[in-house]
Amino acid sequence: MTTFGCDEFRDIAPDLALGLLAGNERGAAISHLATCGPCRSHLDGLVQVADYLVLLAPSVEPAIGFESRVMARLAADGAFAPAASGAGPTAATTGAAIGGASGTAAGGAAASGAGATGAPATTEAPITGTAATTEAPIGGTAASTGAAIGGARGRARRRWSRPVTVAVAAALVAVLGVSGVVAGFNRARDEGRAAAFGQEAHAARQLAAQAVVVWADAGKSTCQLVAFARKGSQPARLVIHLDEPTDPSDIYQVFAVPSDGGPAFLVGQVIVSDGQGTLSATLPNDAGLVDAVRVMEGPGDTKYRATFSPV
Amino acid sequence: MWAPADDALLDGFGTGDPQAAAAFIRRYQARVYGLAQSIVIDPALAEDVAQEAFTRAWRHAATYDPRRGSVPTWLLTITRNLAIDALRLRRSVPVDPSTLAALELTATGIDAEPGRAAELADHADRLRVALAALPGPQRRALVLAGLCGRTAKEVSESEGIPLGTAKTRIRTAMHKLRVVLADLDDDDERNEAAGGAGGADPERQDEPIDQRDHSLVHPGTADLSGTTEP
Repeated sequence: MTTFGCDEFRDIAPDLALGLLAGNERGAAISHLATCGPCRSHLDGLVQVADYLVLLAPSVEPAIGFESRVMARLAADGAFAPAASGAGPTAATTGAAIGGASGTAAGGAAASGAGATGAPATTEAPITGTAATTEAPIGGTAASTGAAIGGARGRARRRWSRPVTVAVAAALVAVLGVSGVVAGFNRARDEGRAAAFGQEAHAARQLAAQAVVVWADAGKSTCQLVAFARKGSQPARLVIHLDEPTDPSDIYQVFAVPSDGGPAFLVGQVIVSDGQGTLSATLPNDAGLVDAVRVMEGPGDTKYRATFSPV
Repeated sequence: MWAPADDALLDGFGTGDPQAAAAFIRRYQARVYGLAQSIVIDPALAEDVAQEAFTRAWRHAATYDPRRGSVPTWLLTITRNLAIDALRLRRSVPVDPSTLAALELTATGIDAEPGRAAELADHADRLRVALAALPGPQRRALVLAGLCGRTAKEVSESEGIPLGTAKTRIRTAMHKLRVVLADLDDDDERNEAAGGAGGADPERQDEPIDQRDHSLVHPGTADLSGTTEP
């Protein structure tokens, strides 16, 4: 593949930020980002401009019936399918449902992800420094694929089973702290591109970050997520630890969001007692990829979220 | 009852709540369609793109990260990428001069839509002003690239200028706007620092995290392997 120097990169950086690059140029640009911090920073600024620019587009009402047509299309895609019986609660009670298959090379048309290949291929370091050091981080072997913690592919679509412990008023979203970039990896498929808000910026961050998921809100509470990719016969694993001195007793539900577009599924609960709570869950080896993990305080109330963004 | 907040609506949409889905579509359809049409021009294709954008938004609602921007920005970025993809599959149609002029006017003018006023305050509003202050050729080039999805090469063709000139105009315009945004971010930080001790607004308590986290993951500034927060 062609590689870019800084001058060449900066020549096309505006097009990249505006989502206009394709093919080899895009691949070469992303590849350059993997090795150049100043250019990642440069791109970050341009992406911010691009993100605000789209807000300045004119509003134009579509043809009458647009809403109905979209609703019909969503229904055809299974957006409003009824819940499959028992699925969520089963996962919740066993606490063993999160799984990340990271090694499959399937999704990766890979062309643009050159930066990720090789870079995150270390196999021993944990995602954060707090956990066991013997397992591979999520994404560590996933250079050619989407990502991280997995929901089973082909699993029947189902709606979340909504926690009943939280008043509906909690749906007023209060995202107290969010974060989450895990490991550099590459997913060149279209869904990834379209879904990834500010994708190029994410790529840059990921490649620099490798993996850290720690949240905190103004020193009051912290949430640490450590995600380990599947390694050999060892299943992928997710450990979440919450430290909430100001809210000593609470229950959170943890959901994983499959990469294949399926609905999020419940993987377990974090029961906070005396200000602390931990969930450790493994993912089945047949699980697919996961795009995100959410720690929910109630329906529509994501307290913490880790997003595994495509590069 | 669903709260009207963008995030809550998106959550409901993503989890398959039909009422939330309908409300979400109603809230954003004009903006999604408007952006799609700015790029692909053809109304039927714009409708396809807009429909697909909502479908993608539903599929990927859970990956939305509020730290990286607002819901409309996220949704419109999806729309932009889809529209650009759709445009590439067809012969790119030059943007009609009157259409371009209208886009410039909308993008730089005072927005009459009351619902958008609050949202456009600050960053986007300042960006409007900065866009209006650009020299005409730079502004046209940036509108063509940023709102119409035209590459530098296409801008050079439609403007009848060398490719290098088109690139320079786009690049210069983006950098000027970037400076404006960076200044605003600096202002935010200063305001936060000034009001930080004891006067924290609980509604804004996520902001310090955002900044710290951003600095943590900012390219080239930190090696995060093994990093933990206290």
